[in-house]
Amino acid sequence: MKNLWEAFKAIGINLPKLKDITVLKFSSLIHVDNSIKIEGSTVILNPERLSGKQKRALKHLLRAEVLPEAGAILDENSNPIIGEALDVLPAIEETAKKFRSIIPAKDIPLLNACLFLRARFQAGVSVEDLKGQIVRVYGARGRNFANLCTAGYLEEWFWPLYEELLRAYPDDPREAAGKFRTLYNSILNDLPWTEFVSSRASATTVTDHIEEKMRRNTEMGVRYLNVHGLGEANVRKVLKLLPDIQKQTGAVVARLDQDTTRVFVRLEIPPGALPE
Amino acid sequence: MNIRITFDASARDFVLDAFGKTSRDGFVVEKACPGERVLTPRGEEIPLKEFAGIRRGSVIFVKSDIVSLIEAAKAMES
Repeated sequence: MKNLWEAFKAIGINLPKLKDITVLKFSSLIHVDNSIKIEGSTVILNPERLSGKQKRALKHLLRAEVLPEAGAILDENSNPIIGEALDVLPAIEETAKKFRSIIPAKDIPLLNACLFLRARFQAGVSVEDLKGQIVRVYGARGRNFANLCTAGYLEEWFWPLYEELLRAYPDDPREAAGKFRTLYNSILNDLPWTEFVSSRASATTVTDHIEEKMRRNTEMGVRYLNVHGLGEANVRKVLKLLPDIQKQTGAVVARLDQDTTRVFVRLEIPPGALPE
Repeated sequence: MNIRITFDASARDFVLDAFGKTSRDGFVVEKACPGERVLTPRGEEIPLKEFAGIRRGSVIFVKSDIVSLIEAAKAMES
């Protein structure tokens, strides 16, 4: 970034070379005699205080040197999320790089966003707003991916599935990857073996949805369904609905793991207890 | 330490102008062809109120949703 400061200097803008400056902000709201002001670790540059020639030179500098050097020029309102993201990106990258080559390219930004969401969830920070943003971009597929990622299915289900396929097609990794993508897309679109209980869905809707999935799965020879509740309200909801779900489906609870922020229930249909 | 480059609402037009863009009818458009709306890599138009900036990767215009911001953060890291 030292060279960038020199580039500013070359067009007559002398930015202070202070060690603790971490942000260069463009703003027309500073009212000082010259165009530069320092606020804490931020140096503020008012482009409106520059001469016409300097403004033109600065615009060129933004395109030619600032953006390539900095990677992004962003609205300051994005700073909190960008700061958090920069902190967790190295950890996210560990997981993302495993999946980047086996999921569709269009899902890679979704993968990154969902891993960020999961990091936030694990840190005990609310994720509802961010999940809503993912759903606005990717629809139900985005919601499903976010839920599966937060519940640990990437590492515990998708990756073992891919490894199993690699073992099944030891001489043809392309075939393994192709079969993985078919299953991946099916699971992501329909969540056939999993139900994530939503805080917005009514008790009746949740129960009916689980019953329908269990009936469909049983017809396909799959006699289980994993039910997840993420967040305190959904944990309470799952535990409250569980007796009704068992009564309506004939399923038994094969496994129940819970704490205050998440609950996992594996429901299984015993032989002879087919749902009507 | 890398320097983060930001702008506030008062300098938004300056930043857009530097990259040959402006706004019209509430959307980011091409300055040279105001009838042409700028698109994100996902093919979305960018309402001015959702314009979050620009990232490297040739020149990519960024919306303020989490998916776009994480990609911007990755551009800052690389």
